[in-house]
Amino acid sequence: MASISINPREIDNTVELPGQRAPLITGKQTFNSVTEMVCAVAEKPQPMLWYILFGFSSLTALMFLSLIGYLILTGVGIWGNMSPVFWAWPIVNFVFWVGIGHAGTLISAILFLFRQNWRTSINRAAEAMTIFAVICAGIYPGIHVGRAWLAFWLLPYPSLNLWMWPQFRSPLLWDVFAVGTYASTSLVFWYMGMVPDIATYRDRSKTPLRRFIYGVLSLGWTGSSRHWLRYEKAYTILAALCAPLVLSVHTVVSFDFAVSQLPGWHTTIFPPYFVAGAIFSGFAMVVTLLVPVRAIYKLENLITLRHLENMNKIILATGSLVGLAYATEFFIAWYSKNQYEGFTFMNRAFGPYWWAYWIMDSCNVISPQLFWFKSLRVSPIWMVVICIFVNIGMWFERFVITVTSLSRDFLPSSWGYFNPTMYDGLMFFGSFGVFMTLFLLFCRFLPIIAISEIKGIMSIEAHREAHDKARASGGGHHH
Amino acid sequence: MTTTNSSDNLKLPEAWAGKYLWCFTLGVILIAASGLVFFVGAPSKTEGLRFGMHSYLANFIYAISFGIGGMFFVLVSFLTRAGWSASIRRLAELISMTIPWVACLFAPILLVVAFSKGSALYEWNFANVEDIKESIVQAKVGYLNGPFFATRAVICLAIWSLIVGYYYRLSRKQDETGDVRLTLDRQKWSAVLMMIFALTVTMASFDWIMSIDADWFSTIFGVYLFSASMFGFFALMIVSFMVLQRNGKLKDEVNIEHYHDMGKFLFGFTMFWSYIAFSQFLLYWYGNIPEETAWFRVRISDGWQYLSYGLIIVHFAIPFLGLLSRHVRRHRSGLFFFACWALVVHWLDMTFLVMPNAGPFSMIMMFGHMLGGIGMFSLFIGFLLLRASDAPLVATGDPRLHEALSYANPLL
Repeated sequence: MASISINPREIDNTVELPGQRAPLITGKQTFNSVTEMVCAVAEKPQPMLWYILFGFSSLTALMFLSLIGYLILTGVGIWGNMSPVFWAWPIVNFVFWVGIGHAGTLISAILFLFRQNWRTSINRAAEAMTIFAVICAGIYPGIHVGRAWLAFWLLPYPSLNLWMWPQFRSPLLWDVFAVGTYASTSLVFWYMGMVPDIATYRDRSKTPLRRFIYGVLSLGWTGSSRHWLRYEKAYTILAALCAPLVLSVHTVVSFDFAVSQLPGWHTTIFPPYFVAGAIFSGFAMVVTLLVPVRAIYKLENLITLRHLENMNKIILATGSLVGLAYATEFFIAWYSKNQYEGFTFMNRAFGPYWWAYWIMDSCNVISPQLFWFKSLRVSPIWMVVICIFVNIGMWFERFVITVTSLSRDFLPSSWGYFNPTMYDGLMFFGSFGVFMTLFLLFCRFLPIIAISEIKGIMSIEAHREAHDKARASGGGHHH
Repeated sequence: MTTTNSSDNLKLPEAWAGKYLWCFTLGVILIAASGLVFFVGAPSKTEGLRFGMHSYLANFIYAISFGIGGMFFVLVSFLTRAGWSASIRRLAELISMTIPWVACLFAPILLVVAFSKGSALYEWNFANVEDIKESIVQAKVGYLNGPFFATRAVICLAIWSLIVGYYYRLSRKQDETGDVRLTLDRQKWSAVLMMIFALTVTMASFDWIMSIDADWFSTIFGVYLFSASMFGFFALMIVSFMVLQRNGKLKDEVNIEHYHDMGKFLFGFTMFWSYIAFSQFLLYWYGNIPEETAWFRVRISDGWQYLSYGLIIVHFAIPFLGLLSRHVRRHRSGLFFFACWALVVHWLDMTFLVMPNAGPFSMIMMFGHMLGGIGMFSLFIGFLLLRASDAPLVATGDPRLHEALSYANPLL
């Protein structure tokens, strides 16, 4: 336990001399100290802040559920959706939440395949956020169909009373498969990765109830080498399966828009551009939540500034990709000389929704550029501020895409201006309540950092340090 | 480790010295022969020029795509502070260093744009705006006109040459000094240059390839060229290392782990290319707007449909299934086969992008195009050999070299 008190700023692991590798975790950790630090999160009484936040977010979630009840009893007319803006906030919120749910699997699957060992401190919490964000996302199409009790018609099954199938040519149906596959695979990946750590929780449980629940959840894990062998194989295979899913989900979401003939929606860059945007917003959410989490639970030695800085770099990269996509769209709208495309983009920037467009542009393209400065990349306060701006921008991006294009129909007589109602706002706010409630429960009961994976990289690092020392002293190293 | 290596091991085989002259000669002869085929085989001189220029452009893009891939690989290696690639990065640097020379091969295209007004290659390239057939293309002459096109191309090629030149110079300097600051400098610039890379590759793809069909447009086109270039680049890396090792070089510096990783990238870009190509096709097919589907229409008619549909099999299904297994990616002959395969289908892909706009498919034209393709590739190989003739094939001073020599792939 003594090592925990070491000031994380003693070693600046954001600086790395070529040829050496900065430590991924700081404070001279031992296997024991890592276990202690992570288990303390769930074993020690929660701080008062947790109860305040939980109370607030669970009430918000409750409000959301009540409003869903009101919506089902009353009808979707309580929202601002109107002609011609039939798709409004529910779709915007759906795409927003699906996007948030992209960082987790990118971190756990793609960064795993790229051997980015720094992912081990953040992957568990990010994966949890993925699951919770996808839950929030899934609610919206479910309640948007109007008769929510018939939402299961989205699934293709041979129905005897309906005598028909869903429209297989519609990307909305592909969404059901894409998001469904993503949610289930991510859930399995998340849970499977947690099994060894849940077993640790089980072994440390002091009450029979906890021991029983964690015992059931840990599936009889004993940590034998046979278990580890199977585990590693399954983990690798799942990572390989998840990697294309990271791209496919938001690709299909982008198809919802891009297969149409609507100017502003119908453009080929949409699939990679949506994926980049999703990773961008997902990472912003991970940073926004992990900065307070590491401070509250004193995990600065495990989730170090280097982890946060790396994520900020990814935010800068994906934000710039999104900027490139905006620029490409604008350029092609001009280059194509297609009057409808040209009009749509001028209308976005200078039409009645100009304010939304410029909020989107300044939050998504300009604010991440602040991460060019290292002092901002490693400042927890600044990064949270920037990341909140990024997520505001990403919400507005979906708003701009959905609403500006729809509000200007091909027939000027059908033009309209969308105004949200109180219910639009309250329900969007309420979905944050669902998300935060789930996340707080996760912090309370499950290992928020992958203990076993951190230990895995600790041994690799120790090995490498030995190498470095041997090299520094001039002698070669032979196995 | 490296200490046991003599520097001979890191040089091109003795027997290859001066072989670049052979490559240049062969390249020039084959390109001239392809020109002959086009002029003799085509029904008219205009048609011959048209086919010849389209073919030349497709082959030029093929040759420069390796350099584009190499430039990206070098930049991303520094951006991510990669250690595993330190021992194979020199070859990527050498490949990227062909850009300044391959860039000179763009001159014939600029000459045609300057002197052959008419639709030999670009349908916007007329002296009088009124001569352009389609009014929508007439409206684009503010962007698509000879002088502006040439300016953009020269700027683009110059920027690439400067980028690769800077990285290569610092890398060679590090061979002598081993100074880690040279790595830090390259890391520092990699982020900005990566953005410039993305902008210029997008611009080049729009200008050089997309504007052949000047009324057509696709926002994803830059990503398409990028994905195709990376696919070709990794194939070339694998083939080159295999050939070098067969000649007794780099025995210890490039091992099965590197092949495995490059194989993974080749597999990954097989999928990424398919993803991008499919996205572009699906969205335009689904929208079914004539001005957007026109580009695909010429590609699924007049004999080109065999190439276009064939790409789904040879550029996606076969490499995908072939490289799916880790046993293939770690099997020298297996990987060598698929890398060679990829080099050929990458050429077919560049053909698909350019040639159908020249006119209906014909065997004799395709034969001329193939001669030109082999000629252009041998010019490229000549450039590469010349570049590699006076440099070690491994960045010996790289401070991360030990990581590249001692890592192992986990399970996958």
